[in-house]
Amino acid sequence: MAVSQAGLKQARLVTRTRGRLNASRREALWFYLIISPWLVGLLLLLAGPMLYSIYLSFTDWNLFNAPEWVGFDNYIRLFTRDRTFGYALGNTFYYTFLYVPLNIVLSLGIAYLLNKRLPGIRLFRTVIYLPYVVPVVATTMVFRWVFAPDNGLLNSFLALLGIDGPAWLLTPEWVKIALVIMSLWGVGSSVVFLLAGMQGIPAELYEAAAIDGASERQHFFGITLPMLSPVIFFNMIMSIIASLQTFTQVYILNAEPNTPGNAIVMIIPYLFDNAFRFNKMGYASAIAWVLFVIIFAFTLLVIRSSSAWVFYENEMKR
Amino acid sequence: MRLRMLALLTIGLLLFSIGMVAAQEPVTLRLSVWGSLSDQEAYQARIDLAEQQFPDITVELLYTPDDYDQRIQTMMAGGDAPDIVQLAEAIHGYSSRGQLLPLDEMIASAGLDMAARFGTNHLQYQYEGSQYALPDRGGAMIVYYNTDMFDSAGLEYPNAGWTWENFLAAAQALTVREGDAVTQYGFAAGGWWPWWMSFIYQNGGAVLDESGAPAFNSAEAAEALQFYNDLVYTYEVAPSPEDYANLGTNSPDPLFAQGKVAMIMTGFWNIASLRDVPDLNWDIAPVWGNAARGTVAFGSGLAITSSSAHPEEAFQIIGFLTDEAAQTVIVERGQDAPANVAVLNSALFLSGETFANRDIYMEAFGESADAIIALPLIPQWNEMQSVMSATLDEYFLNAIDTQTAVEQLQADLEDLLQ
Repeated sequence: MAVSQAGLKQARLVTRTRGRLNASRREALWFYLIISPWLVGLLLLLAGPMLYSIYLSFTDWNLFNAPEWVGFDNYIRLFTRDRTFGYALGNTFYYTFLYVPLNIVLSLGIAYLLNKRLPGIRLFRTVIYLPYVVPVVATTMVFRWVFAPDNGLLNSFLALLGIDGPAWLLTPEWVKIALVIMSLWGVGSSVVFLLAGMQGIPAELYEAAAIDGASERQHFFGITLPMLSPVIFFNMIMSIIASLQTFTQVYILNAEPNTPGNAIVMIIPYLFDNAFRFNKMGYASAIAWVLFVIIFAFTLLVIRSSSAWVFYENEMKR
Repeated sequence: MRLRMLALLTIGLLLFSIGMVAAQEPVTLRLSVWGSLSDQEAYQARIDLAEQQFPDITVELLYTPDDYDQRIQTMMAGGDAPDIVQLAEAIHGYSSRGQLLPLDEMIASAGLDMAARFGTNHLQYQYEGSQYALPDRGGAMIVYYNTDMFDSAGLEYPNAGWTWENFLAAAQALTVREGDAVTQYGFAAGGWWPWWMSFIYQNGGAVLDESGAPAFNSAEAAEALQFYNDLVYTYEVAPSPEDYANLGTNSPDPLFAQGKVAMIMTGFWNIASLRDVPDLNWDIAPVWGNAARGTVAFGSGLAITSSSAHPEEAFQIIGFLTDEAAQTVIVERGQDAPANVAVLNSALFLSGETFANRDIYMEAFGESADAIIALPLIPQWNEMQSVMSATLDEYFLNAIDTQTAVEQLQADLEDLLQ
């Protein structure tokens, strides 16, 4: 810029005396103006309540009377005396560790198949996404029939193979597996990201590999998988967070009179019960913060590990 | 010119509205209820009557079909509580937290004789000596039985003198098997608390003892739960949770309506469901007993919130709604058993003509009156339900034995109540 410092100052002075804003100030003003709904929302609707709930987690509050300070009592009770919270933690981890890897493998496989250029492939791509659009409430109601003991869809199918299927939703050992199966039905959301990722892989990589005589297998593991790793990374973090926060399926199934409650209870449904059925807001806030720490730790772990297995095109693999 | 007109108009309107307020002070109250659409219509019909009686009071009906407690709590916490709320077993979660108005003074100054109007029904709505609601609806759980099945098995019909022995013998005789498969069950119940709780009280047991301490770890309670589970897994006269899932339902009521069950225990409301079922012949009777008698009365009361700006008017309304004229509407519409004793003993109710299209034994409700359990309506009622069902879910799936179940229930309740 050929304008001198003095000149710039002069110009600022002029604009100020004229009561106008220069270009960069105007831009800054627009920036704050446009993000202000989000900023106000964050401060008022998220940060405020979050901070308040830290305070609440150290109190006994029944929603109606003033909160009463109890120190670490809520946290101590959670980890020493509350059997149900123990089940909730165990069930949530069991579900997450089963669902997340299965979801990644299954979505990769389906995305790979859907990436083929076949007649009618667009139809399949739509169909695989459809279950994800169905509300979880409806899915859960339908799966009650799928999982029915003797004449349910799943056990009828297993009977054809000569397998005597369990009473899925009524057996403590099987009810979580049933939940995982139900969730995997909605694998389409992960597939869509992976498919988009696959279609973004430059064709010349495959052409070069083909010239070198690489097999289909080598194409997949040498090109597709590394190029997709950022998408897999994203899917993984999202599905870990989502499964740690599982609510609707459990809430609906547990409203059934015969569902084995301890085998299916998870962290968020238990939090919800404490807050809105038992009026124990302080205790519920403590559960919320324990869950926050768990989610934060898992996310951090995945992010830290990512340098070892996530490959970005503009960097060389170490 | 235009501005001046606008100003004049505004002033005129202001004066007019001030005049209105000074003249009669119309009051608008909000009344919150749950239930089905026909419940909503019945409440509206009774409110219409009340508004005729009190022209200055307008009552707005808030109808919430699902998650009722959550809505009420949210409204209360948000400072937007309705004036009048329908409440049942969860009532003392509210009364113990100062959300409801004690009605004692208003009852006294209105000269309302509670015992004459409600019998003993109002006692469940007392907390620490104060009355928190007027009973509005209520009726005991009774036995519904299929008369054709009893006739073809040559059995006498259930009556108030029945013990578990009579009940079990009948249930066994009424269970029909084809090979391994049961085609007709003698009895059907499940995990819902009024069923198993009735059996515990019938055996002389209790959920909480007189001092309010948990009483699951007693011979009476253990024996009752064992008998209840044996009906399913030993005598095989009642469907298991798995059988229910295969039958495509989780409730005995539809199975009874389909003619697959001979006896069920349910409330007044089932009369309306069974009335129009073709080719089903049925009647009602009081529930059996054993060492004692025991059945759960289902009802609800009307309470006034402590934040109501018009408690006097609200009391006028609930006083009217529980009086004969408005309670008769409940009977006329076949909605429920009324809480008002005079209406409960009225010829209209006993004839059953407004809700049953057959001659049924309506006296069953009166005969059940002295068998009604004093429910442990503690402030932690919801949490107690949740704690109990966590263990009993597994017990009724036959996944844990009776001793484990009662010990676990005892320990969990002790922890909850300490």
